[in-house]
Amino acid sequence: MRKRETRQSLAHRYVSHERRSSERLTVVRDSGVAVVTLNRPRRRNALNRELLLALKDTVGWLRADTDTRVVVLTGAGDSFCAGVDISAEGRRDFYMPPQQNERLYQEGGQDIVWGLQSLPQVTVAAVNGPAIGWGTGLATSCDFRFVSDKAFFRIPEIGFGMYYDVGCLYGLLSLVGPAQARRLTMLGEDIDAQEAKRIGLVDQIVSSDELGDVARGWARDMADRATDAVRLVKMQLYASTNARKRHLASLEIELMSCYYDSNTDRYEGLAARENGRLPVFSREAIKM
Amino acid sequence: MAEDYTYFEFDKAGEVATITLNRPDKLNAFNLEMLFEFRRIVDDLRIDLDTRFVILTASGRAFCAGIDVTEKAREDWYADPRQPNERLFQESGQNLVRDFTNLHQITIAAINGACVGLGLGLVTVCDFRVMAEDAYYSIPETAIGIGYSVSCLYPLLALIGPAQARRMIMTCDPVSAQESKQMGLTHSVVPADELMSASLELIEKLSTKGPTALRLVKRMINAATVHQMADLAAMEPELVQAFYRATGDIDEGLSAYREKRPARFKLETD
Repeated sequence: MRKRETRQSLAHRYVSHERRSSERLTVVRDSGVAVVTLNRPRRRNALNRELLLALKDTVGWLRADTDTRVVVLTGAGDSFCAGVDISAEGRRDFYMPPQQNERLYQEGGQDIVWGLQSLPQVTVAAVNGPAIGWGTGLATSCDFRFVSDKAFFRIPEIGFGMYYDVGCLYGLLSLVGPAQARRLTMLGEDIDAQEAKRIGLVDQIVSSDELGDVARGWARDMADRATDAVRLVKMQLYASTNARKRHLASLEIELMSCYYDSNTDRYEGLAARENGRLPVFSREAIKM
Repeated sequence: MAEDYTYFEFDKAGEVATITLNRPDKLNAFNLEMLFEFRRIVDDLRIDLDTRFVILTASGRAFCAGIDVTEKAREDWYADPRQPNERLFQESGQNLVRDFTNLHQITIAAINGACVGLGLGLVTVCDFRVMAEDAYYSIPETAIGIGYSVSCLYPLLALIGPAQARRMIMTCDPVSAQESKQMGLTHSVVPADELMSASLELIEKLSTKGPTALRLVKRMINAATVHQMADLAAMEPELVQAFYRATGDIDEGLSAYREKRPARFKLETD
């Protein structure tokens, strides 16, 4: 018993030195619950390079934080997460070390997605507002989703000539099945809270002003009930579903790298979006 | 390199990086710090776009004696807050093996001597194995009452199939360089003093091939083999921790090994 206490206090010391919040990503740990908040509200919590790296770092150390038994992932302000930051400013420093090209970005991004899915803690996304693209990916990488009645899910990437990548597809697929996954990815439809509940994408709808309290309260109760067996069944569920897609995801890294190097649709897609017109995409009929 | 490593030499020259396990007085057995240093090297290589080939070799008479299981090393085992128990140790080791497997560089193990346990795990996730003629492989884990874990089983199985994997893991019999070549486990066997030149020759041959094509083929082969086992790997940390806690076989196995006596492992009927 004494030895265990020493170990825990050591972990705690490490936490206080190394496991910090950053400005863009706050982490509050209390009574077995860690609340991780994407904190870039003026950009609707869009993931720029800095936020991606902070998230990767946090998912990395949380898994060894044996004091934490439940993790809540949420967003500051009115949005959960607007996806990858595709603003000119966001794109400017995107391919800086350590993600110097699309391949390395995909690889690092997948670290976050797989890291979240395989966290030993029980994870719950408190989806406080729109979850767009990667935002949907982060939510579907958690064990549970509590959503505000004002939230909605949208995967607009394909419509911009981009792709629903970084390993986000598999979590969505295992939650809602292929028919609804097609609807979200191929059609880019908005799925509001009610519809999301109907198709099994979310567990509970809460009024927007109560979401934070409800999610934290649930997490505290869960922290008391999060036994070894809960962790085991979580891992078994992960192994039986998304872990089985890791071989595909390892190819996705190369596929996306070559796709973006060879296909300019996204420039057209983004330009069209900025100018409020319909995009004109390339066709495969163009021969190699 | 500007980076300082206690247990490694890590050099880069042109397109080739060489990682040298450098703890020869302990036959290059991995202690905790050495694992974390290897982690740093893998993280460095992962984002290094100039390096296209990696040679993994070792100094002294052995390649790697596996995990350091001396009492002193084991006392440190769970001392790091990043891996405070067996489950997290397994997970952290597994992530390291996976990231090393996934390096975009083509990796060549230049095996200079005995290659044991985790050492064998690291070379089986390399793309090629070049071996000194007096070197050998061995997996002594079950003899000390533990499994062959940290995701090392899957690449071995993919290379040599279940019959030979059973033989190596369940009998703990060593496999010589020549025999390993016949089994398809080793690419080439050369005199010890030609190990590095043979490795560089192989790199020379590979460097004439399409770099993107090589990388894609590497990924495709890994996807079709070791990554197919990701679901099993996900359960392994839990399984190993539960096994250690339930049986205590690891403590008995190591005591017996140190005291040079037969181990008395726990039976289900005990």
